[in-house]
Amino acid sequence: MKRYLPLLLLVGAFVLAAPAQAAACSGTTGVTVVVQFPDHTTIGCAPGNPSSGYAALQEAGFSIALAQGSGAGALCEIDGYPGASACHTMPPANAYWAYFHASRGGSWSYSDTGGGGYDPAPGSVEGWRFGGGAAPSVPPPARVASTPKPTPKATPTTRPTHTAAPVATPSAPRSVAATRTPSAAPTASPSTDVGAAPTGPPIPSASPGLAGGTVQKASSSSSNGFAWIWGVVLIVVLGGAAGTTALRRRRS
Amino acid sequence: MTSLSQLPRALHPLAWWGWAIGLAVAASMTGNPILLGLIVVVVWLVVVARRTDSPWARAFRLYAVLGVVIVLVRLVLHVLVGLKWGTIEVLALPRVALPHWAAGINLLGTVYLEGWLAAAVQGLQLAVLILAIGGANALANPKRLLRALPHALHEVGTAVVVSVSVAPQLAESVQRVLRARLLRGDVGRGLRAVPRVALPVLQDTLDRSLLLAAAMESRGYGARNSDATAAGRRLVTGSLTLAGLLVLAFGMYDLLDPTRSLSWLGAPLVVLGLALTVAGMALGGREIRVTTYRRDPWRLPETLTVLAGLAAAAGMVISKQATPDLLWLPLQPLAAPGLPIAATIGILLAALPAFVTPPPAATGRPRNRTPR
Repeated sequence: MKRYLPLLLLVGAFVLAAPAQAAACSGTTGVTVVVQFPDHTTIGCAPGNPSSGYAALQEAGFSIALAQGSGAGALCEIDGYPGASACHTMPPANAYWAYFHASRGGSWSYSDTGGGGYDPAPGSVEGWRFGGGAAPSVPPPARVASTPKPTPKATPTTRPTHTAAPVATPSAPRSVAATRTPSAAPTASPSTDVGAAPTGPPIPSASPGLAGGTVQKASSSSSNGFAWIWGVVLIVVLGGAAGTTALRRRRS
Repeated sequence: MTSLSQLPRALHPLAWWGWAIGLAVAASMTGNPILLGLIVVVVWLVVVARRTDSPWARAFRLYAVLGVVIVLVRLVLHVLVGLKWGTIEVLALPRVALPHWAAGINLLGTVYLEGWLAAAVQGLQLAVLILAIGGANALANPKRLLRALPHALHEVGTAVVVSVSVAPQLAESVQRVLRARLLRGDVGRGLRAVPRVALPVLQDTLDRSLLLAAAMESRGYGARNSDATAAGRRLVTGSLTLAGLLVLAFGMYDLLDPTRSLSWLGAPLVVLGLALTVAGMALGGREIRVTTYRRDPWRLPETLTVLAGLAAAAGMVISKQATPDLLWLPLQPLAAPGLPIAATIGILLAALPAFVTPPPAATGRPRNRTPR
């Protein structure tokens, strides 16, 4: 049983994440996440009760990156936008991901905490817009949630085409349904993903997407390899030289 | 040390400052603990190999202690009020709820490894920067640095030199007096010993101050023309310099703040401010005539030292262009730091002054020689 636990978790994650691909949340649970890029808007749903704004983003299927250096902990990228060197410092005040809260059918209010320290209530709406701090121009999804409203990009029609062609069809990079990596299972290693793919026939297209994404990330970070050992060796050698010099000068 | 068979002498103080500023620039550009650690050992090696016995040279240990304190304070502050983020839990603390108007301050709360490491790296960066400056302070004689300053800055420079060197000299006086007492067999400790130590220390400090003052006066410091034209010229000099510095500050602010709308004003303001400042200093420098007893030569080792510092900064710039990701500790996902080639070579080159500069004179300045 224990052997199959990761697989079960993975499949469970996919099942849980499946409604996320269909825009705003359908019930009163889950947090709807509205992300407005400069050229389009994507709406996702984080099922259940995400623990933080960042978690809601990830569980709604967006990939995020946090800034380093002076802006450590601040959100700098959603789905790879704006990319390039945005994550090496604190994002500037005129080009950053502004963070908003809203209730269903309500209006946006600028968040006074960061996404990592805010726990969105189930049934509420989270908004992210890239720019100088303006609120998203799309209103928060309406309260009536009987039928999920299709978003400009997340068209439900993409799903059948993927089930029809289970081989890793490289979907359009901005297409919501395929590239969303359900990070409810972020610990799953690429190898288990590949193994899990056949066990989840209804959603095979999600698996190659996840595997591809994870592998790419892993390879980029593990390309450092063991170079750091050489660095440590250099530090020890130079430190030893300094120590012996200090001792010799103290004796003389 | 395999020096290039040079006679022992003190290096030009500006060379050490150039070297240290190069390393500080390099440290300010990276958050890679391996590179920061390399800078630390390079500074340590050069300081240990080339410092004199002067009191300010012994203050290097204080900078090291200060660096450790900075990192520790940063770690504690992250636990207390830092923005906690990450996935790997380290400390599960309850989060103190704050009222709405104080939202955004995370009092306590679960500490994650990634956020804590980021805080530690930030603290380390500042600590290394301070250590590099401490290295310059330990290697360069502040009194000799005073001579290299522009003449108009002599008054400010004198005050700075006196304030910088008074604390370590006081400490050295205390050590000397204590040692002398021990040699005489006076082993009294505690409060009763205080007057017996304090009085000689005060006398020692006063003697030295008078010596320094006499030496400076004999070389022309503090000499002033007191006629009316000189007073008018001083007024012009002061207002020119002050206005220049103010304009310079405004220009810099305009230039460096990306959200300012008036950014076209920045560059002309900086140029104008620089021109005014230089004019003021040139005018003021004409008024002061100072003689120099022993000139500090600028020879090949000085140039090599500055170039070594520049190499560290240049290597960092090259690495920032080529592999910007390697300059930071990867936190998402957490991984081992990389080792950018150019930056590493640059920092290693910065260790060269430990070998290519002339060794320091054996006992520093003979006049200040401490009895051993």
